[in-house]
Amino acid sequence: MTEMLRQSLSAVVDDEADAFELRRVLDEVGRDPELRDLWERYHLIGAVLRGERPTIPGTYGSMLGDRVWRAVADAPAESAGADADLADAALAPAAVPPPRSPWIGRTTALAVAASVAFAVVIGVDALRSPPSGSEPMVAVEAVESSSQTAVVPAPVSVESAAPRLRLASEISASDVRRAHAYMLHHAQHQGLSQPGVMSLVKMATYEKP
Amino acid sequence: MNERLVPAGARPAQQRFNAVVAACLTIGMVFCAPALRAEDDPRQWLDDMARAFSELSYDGVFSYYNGRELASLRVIHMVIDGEQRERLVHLNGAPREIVRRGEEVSCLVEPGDALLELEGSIPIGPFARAFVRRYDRISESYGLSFFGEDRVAGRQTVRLAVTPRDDDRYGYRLWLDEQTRLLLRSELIDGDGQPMEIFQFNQIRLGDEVDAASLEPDDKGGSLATHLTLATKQPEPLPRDQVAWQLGWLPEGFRMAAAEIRRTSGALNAVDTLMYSDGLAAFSVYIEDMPETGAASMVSRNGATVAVTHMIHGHRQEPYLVTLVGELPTATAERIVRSVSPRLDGGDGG
Repeated sequence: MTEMLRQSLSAVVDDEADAFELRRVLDEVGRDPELRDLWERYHLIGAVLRGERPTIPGTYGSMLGDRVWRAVADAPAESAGADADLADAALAPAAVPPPRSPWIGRTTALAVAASVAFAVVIGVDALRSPPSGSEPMVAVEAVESSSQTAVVPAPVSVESAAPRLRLASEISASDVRRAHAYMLHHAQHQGLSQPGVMSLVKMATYEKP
Repeated sequence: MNERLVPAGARPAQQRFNAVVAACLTIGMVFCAPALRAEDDPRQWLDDMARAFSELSYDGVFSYYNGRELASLRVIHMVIDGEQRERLVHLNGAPREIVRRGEEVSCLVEPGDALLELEGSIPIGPFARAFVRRYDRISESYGLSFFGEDRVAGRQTVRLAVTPRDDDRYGYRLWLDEQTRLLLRSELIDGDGQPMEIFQFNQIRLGDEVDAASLEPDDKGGSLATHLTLATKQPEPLPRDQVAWQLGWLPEGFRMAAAEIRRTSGALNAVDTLMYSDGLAAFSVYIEDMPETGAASMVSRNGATVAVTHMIHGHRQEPYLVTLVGELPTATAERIVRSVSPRLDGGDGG
């Protein structure tokens, strides 16, 4: 992953990439099967192609730039055939790459949106060691069922020098646990206009997400 | 008495009845005279409120709403032989009791309670009152005003508004018992004037009506077997010049309340903890070595409390995880956490 591509991904994530940068990212995707695997694993492309804006807290899709989403909404209707090609290429596991990548040269807003999602995925995995099966998947279910806390992704730009702050789509159980533990620790130290024990109301009412 | 209440020409029995009614109304008006006089100082009411909570005996059931969940709890408080005694009982959901004797606080939970999973993550104690509400400082950052009266838990109350002077903190509406100045209802208000947290007594007994026996935890035949003891010894705060971190930006009126380094029980991580307050609102900054498995950049909220993470690098480019927790607007919390940096040696701590 070159530094330049990394910076392009950063721009894409910040919703500041121009069409040229996006095209470059798309080209990389078309050439690298490992990157395509990542795409399938995260399922974002499928949701985007179906026109769904992922709203599960913690998934990266929920913070795709508004500009991209407006473009998707405004995109002229594609022919059914072309869309099917796009969908098949994205979702078919271990698909043989077609002679000409469906990504290259596509400039519709739909492809742009899809590539944004995928670009984010590239960024995430480029920062870590090769993905292994034992890595914690995004704890989306846990966050979804949380009745007490709302976890929303914070805007983060992909940094260059081996950073280990993951993007919000990678929230794990230990992240949630740490946040809750610190919240309770902070609550205990509140001096009071309420009775001493009242400061511990947050501890007494703690619900596991 | 006002002649209109005793109309001329009414029959004698009617006249007597009207006179009695008139007399009752007069007496009633005296007892219902407004609790506030023009010269009342809201700051004095806040001081009285704090004193009421630590000095009075009360036993009540209250509701607590954090924007998502509504909980019922019972609190009993008495001062016995000069020692603060309190008991907080969680009435719905997980059965938990928090019991306080003086400075010793313990939390009784059932085995398998979700709270126990947090114990190894970070230190749960010591229970140090790092933040003491400082009402003399409050008027730096908040306006105080009365806004009418209301009735809560069957008692007359006076309403007090605590209004932030900028967008970097939240406000409060407080309902204080007219007679004792005890807090009976409070709303924590966001920038749009909407309540983020509500606390309200539904019923309350005061003074002699409170039974000391109610302070004993109800063990329900041994089900509450596990104790989380919140260590209470107050740690020596670090001298300012030994604090390794600084904040590049602080909202107006916030000052450092305490700084400490602690070691988690079980884990090997040391966590630096910095605490700041403006006299009412408070936030804590936790700084630790970035875990091997990394950490997620995230914002999470529990009612008015927000937690934000951030990564910074030390002098040798080693990565650290910074977590800010506080009752602040999200944008303010994010602005503060992004301004955390290692102190240059010899510099003045934030």
